[in-house]
Parts: sequence; structure tokens; C-alpha cells
Amino acid sequence: MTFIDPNSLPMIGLGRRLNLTGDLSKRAFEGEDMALYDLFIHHLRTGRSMIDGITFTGCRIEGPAIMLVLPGTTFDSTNFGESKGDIGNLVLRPLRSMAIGTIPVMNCAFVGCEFHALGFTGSEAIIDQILAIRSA
Amino acid sequence: MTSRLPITRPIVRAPDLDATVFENVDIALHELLAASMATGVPLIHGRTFRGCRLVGPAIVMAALGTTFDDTNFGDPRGDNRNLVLRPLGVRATGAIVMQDCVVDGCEFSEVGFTGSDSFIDWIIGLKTTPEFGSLS
Repeated sequence: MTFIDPNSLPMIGLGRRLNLTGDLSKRAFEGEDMALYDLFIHHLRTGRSMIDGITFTGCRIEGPAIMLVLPGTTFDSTNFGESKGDIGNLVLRPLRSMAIGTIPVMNCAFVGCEFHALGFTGSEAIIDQILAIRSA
Repeated sequence: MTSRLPITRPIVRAPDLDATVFENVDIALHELLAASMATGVPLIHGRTFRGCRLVGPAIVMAALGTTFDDTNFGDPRGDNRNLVLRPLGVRATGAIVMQDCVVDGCEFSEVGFTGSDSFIDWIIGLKTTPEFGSLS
């Protein structure tokens, strides 16, 4: 366990310093940051096959990873990340239904969050919803 | 020419993720990229993997100069298209880029792939038998 000086942590786009979560098992995260990969591995180790039913408020979630957006997952006031002017740069289309290698996220709510180095995929309906988002 | 596959040896975690050559070890691609990013390089570049298990979850973008020989791209669950995603924009944000890498006699597990149309077509066309020689 190493001591990290809180004042040396970088500022993130949500107007505060990086605050890595200390407990990946929570069902609701507030103002906490994490790598989506780490959260998924934690859930796999407890026997779950996807990230399901978790609420993220004011969180920074990092990749690199591709999120498989499954039904019931919602995004409000969320920054999807640097799209370099084209939201399509954050989106991939699976050629079949399984999207092996992506991180499945179901029935989760993201409110006021920011994503970094995350790509997104899902059904055609979900892809259409993401593509309809205009960068601010 | 004989195939190195299937890999049946016990799990051996790669001891040094900064190495240039990896032989007969197992690597979590996300951790390999994290180690590379800690040295300031945001991709997997110029490495050689022989007889390795390369494990996800991850989406790999096979970029310029990366070659695959005698490689098992993973269980496609009945259709090679389950292993592939197509980027909608010019970038595949969230994918792990492998550039100028040699992949020889390796197995991917829980890894999907993206890249150019020709690479995607090549993955879809892969057969389930080795492309050369006979297994000894």
C-alpha cells in the first residue's frame, strides 16, 4: 500500500481531483472514479457475468475498454469523452450479437459522469441513440 | 511446420510486462497496456509473443506491421463474426492498439478484434483448422 498525496492527483473534467474508489463492490458510486475493466473483473470474481444494476453519480470512468450497453442502462448529463468532433469515433458496431471482449453493462444509471478512453457498442437502437448525441 | 497449439501448460503470468519478447507466458492485455502507458506509450508496440495466452476482456485493434501466425483468435461461439466489431468513425476509442507486433503460436481468450475492413474480413474468413502442416 503506497501513500498517495491527494494534492498530487490530477484534476478531472468534473471539477475535482481524481478520487479512485476504495470499494468496487458497491451498488452506488458517488464522486468516485474507476477503470471499467477493474470494476468488471471484480464482478467476474464474485460470480457475476456483467455489471448490473449499479448507479454512478458524478463519476469518472476510464478505459481502455469497449462498453457493451445493454437494455436498462441510461446516461444523463454525461460526457462520453473526446470524440474529436465525431461521436462515431466512440462507437463500434458488432457484426453479430455477442461482442466478445466488450464489457457488458446492464440496468446501470450514469448521471453527471465523464468517460475517458471508452468506446461504446450495443444493439442498432442503442448505437442510434449514442450517435444522436451532439458534442457540446 | 508444426503448430504450437493448443497451449496446455499451466498458467504462468508474465513476470515483466516491459519485456520486448514474451515466450510461453500468459498476459492480461489490459495490464500489458497499462504497463506501457506508465512508460508514456499508449499502445502495445514492437513486442513478440510466442506460445502465449493473451487474455481480455479487451478489443484489439491490429495496426500496421502486426502479424499473426499459428494463432487461435478464441472461441467464436459458433460464428467468427462474434469476434469482430467495426468502428463507425476513423478511430476505435477504447480498443488496445497492437502495432509492429509478432504473434506466433498464441491463443487469445475473451478478446474481440477491430481494424481495417481487410483485417475484419480476414478474421471472419479464418478456419478452425491450422493453415499449415500437420499437428505432430
